[in-house]
Amino acid sequence: MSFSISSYIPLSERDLWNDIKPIPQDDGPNPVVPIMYSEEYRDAMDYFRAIAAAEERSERALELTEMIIRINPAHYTVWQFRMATLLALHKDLEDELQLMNEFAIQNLKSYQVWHHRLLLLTHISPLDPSSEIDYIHQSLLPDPKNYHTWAYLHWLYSHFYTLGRISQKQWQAELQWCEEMLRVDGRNNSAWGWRWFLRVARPGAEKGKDGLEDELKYALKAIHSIPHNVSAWNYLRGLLRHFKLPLTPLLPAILLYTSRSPSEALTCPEDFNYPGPPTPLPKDTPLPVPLALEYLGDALIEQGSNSQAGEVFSDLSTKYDKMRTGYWEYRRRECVEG
Amino acid sequence: MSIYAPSIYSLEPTPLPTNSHPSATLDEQQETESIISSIFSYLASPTTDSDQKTILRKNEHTQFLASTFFKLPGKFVALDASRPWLIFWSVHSLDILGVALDQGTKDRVVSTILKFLSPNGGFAGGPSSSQIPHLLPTYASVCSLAITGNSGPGGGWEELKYARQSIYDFFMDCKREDGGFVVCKGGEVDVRGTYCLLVVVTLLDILTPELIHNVDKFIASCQTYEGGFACSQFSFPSIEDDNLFTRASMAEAHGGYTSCSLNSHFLLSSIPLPNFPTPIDVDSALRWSVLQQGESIEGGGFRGRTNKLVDGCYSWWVGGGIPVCEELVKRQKKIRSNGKENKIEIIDEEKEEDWVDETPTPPLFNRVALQEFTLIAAQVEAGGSGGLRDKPGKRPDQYHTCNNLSGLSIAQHSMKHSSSVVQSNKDKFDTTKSLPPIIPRSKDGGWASEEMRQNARKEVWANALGWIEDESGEIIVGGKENRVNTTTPVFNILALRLQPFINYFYCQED
Repeated sequence: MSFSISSYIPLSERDLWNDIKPIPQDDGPNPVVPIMYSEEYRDAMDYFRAIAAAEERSERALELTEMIIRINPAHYTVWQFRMATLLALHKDLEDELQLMNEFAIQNLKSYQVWHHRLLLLTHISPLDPSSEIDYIHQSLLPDPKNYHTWAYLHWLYSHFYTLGRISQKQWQAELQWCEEMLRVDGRNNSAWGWRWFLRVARPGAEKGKDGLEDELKYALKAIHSIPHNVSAWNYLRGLLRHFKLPLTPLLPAILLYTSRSPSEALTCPEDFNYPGPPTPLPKDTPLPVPLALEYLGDALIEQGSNSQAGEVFSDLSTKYDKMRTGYWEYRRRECVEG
Repeated sequence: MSIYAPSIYSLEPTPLPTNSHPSATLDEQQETESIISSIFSYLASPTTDSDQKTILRKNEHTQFLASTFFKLPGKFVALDASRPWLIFWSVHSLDILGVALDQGTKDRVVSTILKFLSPNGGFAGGPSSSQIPHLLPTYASVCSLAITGNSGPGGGWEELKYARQSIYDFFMDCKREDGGFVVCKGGEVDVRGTYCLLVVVTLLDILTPELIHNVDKFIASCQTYEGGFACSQFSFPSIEDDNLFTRASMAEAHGGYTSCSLNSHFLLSSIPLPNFPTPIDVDSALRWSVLQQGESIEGGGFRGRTNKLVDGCYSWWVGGGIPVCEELVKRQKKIRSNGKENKIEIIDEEKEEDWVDETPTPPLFNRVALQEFTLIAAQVEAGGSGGLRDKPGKRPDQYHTCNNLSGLSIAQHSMKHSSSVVQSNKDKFDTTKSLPPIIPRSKDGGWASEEMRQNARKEVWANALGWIEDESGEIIVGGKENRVNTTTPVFNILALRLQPFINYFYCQED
């Protein structure tokens, strides 16, 4: 390490910077949380303060900001200054995008890196955002739950949709990509969230009855594939609540997971065409599945069978989901005190 | 101990069933289950009689936190734009542990923070001569001043008092039409910024209708189909009407953003404006929150997203939101049973009943298990560096220490928002006393009348001070030595810090 320190040439010894008077950090006397900056960072920041005060928009300002960001990618002030400089100098923003790709490889990710990228795409405003979409897909492969990346993908489609630059074919292809993500890992809740956006939340998502039926079946199949997958249960419940649909009609499809026999009220109608559980169930699928019991409890409330619902919640509280004993007891009381 | 909050030690450590369906999520889950269950098997329970029992190692954590105030090693450069947070995490953690700072350190904190105050309003992540103001450091700075400052000369509060208008102007600069706020000039828009801004607006008495216009809609549309909240939302312009948006949440539900959103919604709900705030789905927010608590094999810590791993920082982000959910559920129930929509009217009616005559609700999350997670899995091993962490195998840091301890405080103490306390606050509120009213940006952006302004001040102040501890609901795993101080939901500072600070800005007597 001592080698790298001694090899650093201070900016004051470089011709490019000899017209600038550096400004040291003003922390006041005896500050708390002082950081023992490296010589390189301190030096760069001293010069940054000087050019920021002068609002200098120059090539060397870009070099300096890059130097700082490589050491501290969360330095939002430096990012803001860099963007303003790029725009003032009419720089080729594609080059900047390349630099951001390199940053991502070096794992210099932060809120600021992603936001910088968002601003770049806004300014570049490609007629077809395909290459950016591909890039994001690629970057999710090694890191399939990165929250920033998923939020950015949501923004990317939303922004370019409002500009009329997402074709029907692209929406289709995106849905297929999302399904592939869920095929690889059906428990990836980020991918489930993306599916919700594609199928339900975005303007222009298919709102027709057939589309909804397909979606309910998709969620049920996912439950049958991994019966203890909370993501799939939440998606199913989310659909029903969003479209204000009752839970009861789907009950026959999941009743097996409750380990309860169907009562008369729950007999399966003849035209029931939702997928049912596989026989045999996948190995290591202990029953009942707590989320299936919750579903049953809520369906019973819907039917006005509050005392039966209370029994289901009582079972959850005392036997099948004891971590949440208090919550299920609360749900039970809501049923009986209703 | 509570029968509704069983100990980890009383539950079977059952792994997540595989359903014979391997995937990356399952691999990571199994690895975490193994790490956490093994530490539970070799450390002594906090409730055993043996002198090996695991206690909250307050002295070690104090050492860890106190070192933050002095020279920090070079790797902390990654937090060079988050120095107010380093301060807040440390001073609030020490407050929770009941460690008093000497006056010299307090003075140093105040003078350091004041260096971060921008003459243009708002606090920056470091000296304002180096960095531009940002909503997140503004929260951390103001709360740190509430904890360490005072109303005397150089105590920081007076300086804040004179900065009220400039802070307000900075907030208006951050505001966007759809109700979101950029976190700084040219910065991103998300609910962290909204939350930080609303806490400061509430504390400093700088609220106006123009500032909060559409903010409720922004927050409500971050709620996802799962019930938790996402980081942000997108407003799709409507073809028919320029003022209408179709709003969509911009990712999956997440603990941090759920905390910010629930707390924002709660703060907005105190503001007396018609049809405000836009409702959220409280039941599904509560359901999502309790489902994030891990199983016994994961030590009962909280995860931050469905199918992700438990992490001690969510003890606050998710656990701390549950008393807020509980209060919102309670209000919803009252509105339903009264069959009326007007919340103000209902609050007036309930003076007598309040919650004293209700059967106590069972704890809505497993407060015992969360404490066990904190003591066994989140604390760094005895004799080590001190501090708390994400999970075993991770290094401790100030952020995880603060969020673990804040969650521990929520798990130990039963915090309720009391309508009778709010009412008595309102009864004693003195409307003749006020700092100078904020000058709104637009001509009709302020309160329509002085009477409305005073009513809003009264409601906001009375509700902010409405959180009290139900002492009969206290649960301390491992005995009194493990007790920590009581943090206030929504704000996350101690009640004894909140009260004098907010009273100073509303000119009310303590």
